[in-house]
Amino acid sequence: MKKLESAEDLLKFRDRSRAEIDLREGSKDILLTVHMGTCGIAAGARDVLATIVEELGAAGISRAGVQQTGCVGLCDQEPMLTVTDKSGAFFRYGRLDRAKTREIILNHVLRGTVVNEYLIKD
Amino acid sequence: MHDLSLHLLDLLENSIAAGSSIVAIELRVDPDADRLRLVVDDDGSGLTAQPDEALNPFYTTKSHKHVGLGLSLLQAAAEQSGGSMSIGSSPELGGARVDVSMRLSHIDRPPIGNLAATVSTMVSAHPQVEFRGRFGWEDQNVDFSTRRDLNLEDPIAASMEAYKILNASFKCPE
Repeated sequence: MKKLESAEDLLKFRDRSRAEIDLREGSKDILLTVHMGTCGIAAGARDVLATIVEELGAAGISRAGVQQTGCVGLCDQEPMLTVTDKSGAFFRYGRLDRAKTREIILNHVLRGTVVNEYLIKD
Repeated sequence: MHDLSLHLLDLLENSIAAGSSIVAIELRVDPDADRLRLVVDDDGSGLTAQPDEALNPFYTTKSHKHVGLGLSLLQAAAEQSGGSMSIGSSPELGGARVDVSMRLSHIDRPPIGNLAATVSTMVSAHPQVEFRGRFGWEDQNVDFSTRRDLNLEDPIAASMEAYKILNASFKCPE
């Protein structure tokens, strides 16, 4: 884990941990993280998050948690979405738009089927 | 960045990263004076660097990267639109203040964009933070607070409600 160097680091760590605890302890089944650094925002992260909100709202799903984080250094893959399941496994999707995000919500979040086509390849 | 509402989203992310619990946004559009002014105040930890340093695109407080483009991109947008940007302390909330002005009719001024989408985006992931919005243009004067005007129990529903309220109450110019 990265060393905590300031009060802000501590607050960020608290928020992240809270989301992870929700996931582990059962109030949430799946965690959706949108990367909202300057690069993500410029590439369209707001549309990705808005699509997630619309789709979760329309489907009435409360078992999915939504959180934002900053740039993870893969700026050319923005806008990105990381889906983390209860086991702690995470799936990082890249170069998204509204249609691809909708597809991920419908398939991965609702049906549990990973959308391989949009995963970021190492 | 395509428009001002995306620059604003980036500023709000900075406020969150500084541990803010209140963030106040003020947008005034004054066609008579040909000015547009956007001010963001927060009660976070404030600037950890000198203002000049924070505006340097090769300065960042983050350890895993070498550039910090957000503020410098907005400063460039302000200056190319016949305006300016200053950063410092918030007199009202005690954290940081970013104050941007632009010439409203300048051909290079970015469009204002979708303010409702920016605020609702922040509500969905940070319901614990109070976002205050004061938007003014012609006879429209919006005074909005996420804590006062929304039921924040369900962040997804609150985010959709925020979008609906702001979209209906403020029609901003291009």
